[in-house]
Amino acid sequence: MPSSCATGLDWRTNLPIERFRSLNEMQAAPWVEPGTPEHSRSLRTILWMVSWFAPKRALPRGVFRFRSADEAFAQRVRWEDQSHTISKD
Amino acid sequence: MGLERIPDVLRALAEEHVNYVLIGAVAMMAHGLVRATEDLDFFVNADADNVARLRAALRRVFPDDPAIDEISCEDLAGDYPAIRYNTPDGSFGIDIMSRLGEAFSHEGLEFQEQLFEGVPVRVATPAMLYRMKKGTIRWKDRIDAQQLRDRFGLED
Repeated sequence: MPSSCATGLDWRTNLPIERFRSLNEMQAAPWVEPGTPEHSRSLRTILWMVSWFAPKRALPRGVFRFRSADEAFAQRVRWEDQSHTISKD
Repeated sequence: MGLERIPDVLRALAEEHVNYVLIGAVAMMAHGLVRATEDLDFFVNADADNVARLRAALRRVFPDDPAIDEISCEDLAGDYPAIRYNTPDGSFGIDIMSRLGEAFSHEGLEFQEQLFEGVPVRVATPAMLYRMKKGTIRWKDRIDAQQLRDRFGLED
């Protein structure tokens, strides 16, 4: 991916190629150092990508109260099931 | 408007000096473990001043939403320790918790501060996240727990 992509993320321009002997080794490789500017940019880019590519949701707006996290999670699942999927232009 | 507003929320929490601790997928990402998310999750101290600061922070990002006034310390400190705020456009939600069962509450959470675009973000430590996630029945949490254990060499 070119470094001048629309998200502004500079994809590891210092280390464009990394080699791994296995998938496990690849998954264990460090991403970017937390707390660095590169990490901030990467986080913002991931959020942008998820926001863009994930199905658009229409959650009921407002504040909802729950007696437990399990209750909140169950409601979230129900909303996800009911939420209309709207394709992006 | 959507998840890309999460950095704005984190900045507002810092600027209003909200006493909070980030958990969930965004906390995982803050520790360098990438996973997609659809929500922002954090614990707050449920005292009145802090919840007022929380409302002020959310108003900075969503200034025209009167629903924010419904977030109360009485609920968070009382019978409703989990509050869900869905944003005005319904594109994402914010889970605000004061405690999780008998095991976890804001006061007992270990956290560390990490900078995000110069803003200090209070994130639960990897070990804390692991303890919170390892025993749950949610498959996402079990995967998170395994990633945390592998990346940070955590043990039961």
